[in-house]
Amino acid sequence: MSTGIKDKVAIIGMGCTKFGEHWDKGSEDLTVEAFIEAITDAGIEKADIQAAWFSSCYEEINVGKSALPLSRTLKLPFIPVTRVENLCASGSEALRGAVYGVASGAYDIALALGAEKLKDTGYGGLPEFSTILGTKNRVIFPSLSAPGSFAMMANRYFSKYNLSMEEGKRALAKISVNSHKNGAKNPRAHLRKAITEEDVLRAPIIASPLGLYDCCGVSDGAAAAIVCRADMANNFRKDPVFVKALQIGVSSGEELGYTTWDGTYVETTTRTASRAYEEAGIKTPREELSMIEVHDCFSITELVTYEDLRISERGKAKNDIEEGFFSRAGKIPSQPDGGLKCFGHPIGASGLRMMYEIYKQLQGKAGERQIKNPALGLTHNLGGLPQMNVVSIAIAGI
Amino acid sequence: MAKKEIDDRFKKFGTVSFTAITKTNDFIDYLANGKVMGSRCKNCGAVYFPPRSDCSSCLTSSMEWFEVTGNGKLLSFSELKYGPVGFEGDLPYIIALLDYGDYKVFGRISADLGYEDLQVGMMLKTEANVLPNGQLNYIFARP
Repeated sequence: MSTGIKDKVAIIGMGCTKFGEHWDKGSEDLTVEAFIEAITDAGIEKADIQAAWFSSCYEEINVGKSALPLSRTLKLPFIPVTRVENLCASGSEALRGAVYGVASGAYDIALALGAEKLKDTGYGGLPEFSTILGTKNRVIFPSLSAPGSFAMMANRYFSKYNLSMEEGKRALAKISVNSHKNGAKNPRAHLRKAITEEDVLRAPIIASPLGLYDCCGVSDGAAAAIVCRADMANNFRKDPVFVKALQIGVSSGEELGYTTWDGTYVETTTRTASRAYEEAGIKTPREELSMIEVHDCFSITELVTYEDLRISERGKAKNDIEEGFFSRAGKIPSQPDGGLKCFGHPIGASGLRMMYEIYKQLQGKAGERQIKNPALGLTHNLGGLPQMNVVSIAIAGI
Repeated sequence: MAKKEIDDRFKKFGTVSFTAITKTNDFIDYLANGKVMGSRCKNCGAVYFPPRSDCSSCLTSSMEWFEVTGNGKLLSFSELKYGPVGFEGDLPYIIALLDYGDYKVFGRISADLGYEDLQVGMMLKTEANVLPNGQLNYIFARP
């Protein structure tokens, strides 16, 4: 009988580069930097690693295909290295591979590393989607953009819950203000500028109602984790972090079919969260979670995720946002490191970057951003669009 | 036919088409004749838009075409000021999602409807459309 992943694997070392515009570095430099921080943190040697999982999303750009970019960059000694890709949730997929490899008993120590180098592609958002969504999906809608599809979620949400455009946009603005406030305190964040609600509301529109500050950008960066058997963890450090749940859910495509899906939530998040809470033994997430790092590719994504994670009631996230529930001093701080919005979004590294912040916070090493006595953190890593996507949810604790 | 010809009819779809060859290429011939078509599984009744040639519900391949007719309810919409690669020249344009009950249709709003004219919940119809450059697409227009 299956028993889930809870408390079988520990994270004993993590590394994360500064995210941003690394014109002077290649993906190899970023990979090495994240790796050295992770093994130094864990107190292990390269030779201690028995298997590795590598994530990168836009493989033709800079990084290259297969697992070779990782094994050759680090000169890993002919060990098994697996390449994974699952859109923007790729980084969590690498962590899942390493954690499951160790949980299976096949390995004692494994590495997960994600890297992406996008800024020198010359494109402002993501590079061309045509080859990503595949033949059939492209028939749906050739002129669709990622901001546009999430913007439709915002308009639909405002309409369903009777928010005026002004009320809705202001609620979203508070989300971006919170991320910028946290990101400004993070030396590794891509964007380190505090902003006001008025800045958000006055910004140029990308896809109505979403403006510039409602959208995250893309970045260059890499992040890494060293995981080991839970019963070995204290041999390496006194403050290991334990994996409590690691779930991935992928759309079946039915959101656009017979279902009642109305575009105001992400079905995959609700289902994956339920499985993750069950695996971790969490009954009331609003009471039990200490902090969250969610996939704020757009401000509206963060808002509906509060509800999809069953932290806020349906239609009530706005009240929690206004009361500061998700601010660093609030009940469940969200995006303490600045999130995708400010820390940045090098696609294949983002899931691991989220866990990096949870890991540091749980160890009390988050410096100026430290949350008071956190015990349980959640990462939510989403790839794709509201109507078809991959969602990965990880929960870690001490 | 000595050599199998490449059936690339989807090249005619949209301002720019990124669609590779699919078994549902007749979609384009219907579109050229003014009809926007989805597909229905003859075995289990599942309905698909965009059309599929294989049913993901019962995993059989006995499909029939049906025409997207009547009005759908506007589920949501957004006006794009920045577009994906290939669509920069069309900006700004409005994207939308229509709910037909059994299925939903993504598309673009007819150019004669402005952002102010739109409201979630209003009824619109799906129409085949020929673009000035001869490409084919479909748009959402007033009933």
